[in-house]
Amino acid sequence: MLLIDFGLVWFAAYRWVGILKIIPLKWERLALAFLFALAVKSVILFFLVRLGVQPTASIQLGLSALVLGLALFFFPKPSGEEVIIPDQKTGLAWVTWFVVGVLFVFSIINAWFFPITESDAVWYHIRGMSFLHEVRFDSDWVVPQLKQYPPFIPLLFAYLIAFDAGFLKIFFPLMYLFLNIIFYSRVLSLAGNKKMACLFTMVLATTPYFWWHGALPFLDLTTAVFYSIGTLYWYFWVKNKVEGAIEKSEENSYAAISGVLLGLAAWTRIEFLLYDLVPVFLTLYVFSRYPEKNENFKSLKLFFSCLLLLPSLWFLTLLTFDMTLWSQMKMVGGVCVFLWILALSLTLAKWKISESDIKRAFILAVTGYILVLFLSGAGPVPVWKKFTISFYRTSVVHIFYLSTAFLGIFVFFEKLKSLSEQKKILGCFLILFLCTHLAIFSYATPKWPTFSEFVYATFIQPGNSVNLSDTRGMMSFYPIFIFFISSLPFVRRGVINE
Amino acid sequence: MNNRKWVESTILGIIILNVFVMVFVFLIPRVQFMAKHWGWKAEALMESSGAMDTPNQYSETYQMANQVRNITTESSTVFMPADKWGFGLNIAVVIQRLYPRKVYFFEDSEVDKVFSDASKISNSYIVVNEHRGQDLCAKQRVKYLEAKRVGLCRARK
Repeated sequence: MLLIDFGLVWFAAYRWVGILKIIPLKWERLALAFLFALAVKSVILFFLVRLGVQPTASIQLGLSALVLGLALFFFPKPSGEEVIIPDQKTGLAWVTWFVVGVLFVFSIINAWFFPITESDAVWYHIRGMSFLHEVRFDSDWVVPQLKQYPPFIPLLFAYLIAFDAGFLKIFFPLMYLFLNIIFYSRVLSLAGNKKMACLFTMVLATTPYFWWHGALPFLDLTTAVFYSIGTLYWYFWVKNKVEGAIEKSEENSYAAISGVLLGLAAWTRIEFLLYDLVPVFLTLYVFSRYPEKNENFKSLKLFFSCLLLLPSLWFLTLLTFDMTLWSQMKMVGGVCVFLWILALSLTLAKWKISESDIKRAFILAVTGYILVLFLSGAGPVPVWKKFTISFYRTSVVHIFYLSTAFLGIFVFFEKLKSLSEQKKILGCFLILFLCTHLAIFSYATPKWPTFSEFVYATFIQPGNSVNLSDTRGMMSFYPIFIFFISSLPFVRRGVINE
Repeated sequence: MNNRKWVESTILGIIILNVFVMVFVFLIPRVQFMAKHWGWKAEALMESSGAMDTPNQYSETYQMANQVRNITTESSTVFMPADKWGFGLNIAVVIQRLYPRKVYFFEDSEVDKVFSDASKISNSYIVVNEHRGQDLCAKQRVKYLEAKRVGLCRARK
């Protein structure tokens, strides 16, 4: 029953992905459709719970059939064109997919064998059960802070429990697998070379931290998959726009896909709405440099609405809770409101933005953040100390990504000034991501009050900090970072005999 | 070493180092754990020490909660102390294992009112430890569970 239900939604999502006509590789379409199928399932369950209807298996099956029916009716059959990559005889492709396959199988076995006993995951499990049985989001059995977390993973648990599936962690290894498939396809699309795609996919797949989280029922791998893949599609949108080699329909497709995926990241971990400010800012920058000729801003409208829809749904739901909202949640909610105002001003009120406006806005945002940081700094740890700890953590957290972080040395061999504009934008993205990470964790209260405790927890007792929120959050950075390294001309020349 | 060799060798080196760490830190210890515990039910695995990279911090709470779960029914109401267990009781684990049973801790603000109502129903239980809860039991004896220093009794009507 579960397989039939998910199959219906997956096929509907596959149909939608097919009509976008920007994803020529079948495996990539299947992988992306899987992510969208999860999103559709979560939205169906969300509305059922919101309307007070218990999401039983039979009701879900009926709705999944309806979704498929609508997809078949509204989306024409995709042409099924497959891009032919020039025949590059490389046994490396077999080695790559053998390595990914073996790691995926190990991940599945681990996820199946070990029950959910990890501390936060236990709460997600409780929330899943309460969504299904109590048909409400604010169960009395859940602690207030966890109650306010976005519902994506608990909704997936509720989905599996409704179908009596005992294997609740199944989606995490699949996330790991589909991340690798989409990453491979994107590198292949950019580089046009299988050897490049294989080598860098193996780097990502063998990064121990990613494999580890493929068997752990936390929010972070899922967030990393949505955020990093969303960013890769966003990059193709920006790249094609800068190169001027994009049709309107393609531009809209990229904008919609990246918007949905970046929104899903916030639907999983709400603070990713703050990380979403990075692609939003850079999109505005690109639009200010390359203004649309007919100024209908359709791609911008799609990007913003897809990005903001799901997190806004959750904020509206939070307003119905009979409880005091967590201050951090209020702050992120404020950012959501700000983004709606910005989006509406740009698209409906047709605000014109220039490059100098963007620079001024950036300076204003940094100043505003510093003011907020000092005004809210009345906690037990002084602001300067929080900033120092956050700076230290943002710098050293990469040791948990082991040798993958070592890829960064290639940047020092590249002539950065002569990089194309789109690659510079991707480089800026990575720098801004790290700055946002630093800013978020400078605002949050650190786990330990002293700097020395963090040093101890990094080098002497790394087990204490390997799974801190900031270490896990950095998972969203690495696929983009590896992709950026693969795009460097110096690296390309080194891998391909050009 | 020319540019081509150098770049490719570095990337391959990164992959090999990653695989090496993954095998020795995650795969081998996990495979050993699975081989040792193969065929165990999920309940028993929850009570185990866990794999090396994800040690189970709540095995004692799981032992206690699983036994309470096996004795009570899904419609039961369970009262228990949240402290003085001699181990770190994890409230989330108790709720996870006992859901959809209603679980109240003695420290909850509304527990007295709930107890005065629920204790009239035959399906209410008190979980007692060495220090707390025995005074709330009905006259019948406390049944001691296999988990250390834990007992269960019917609530006093």
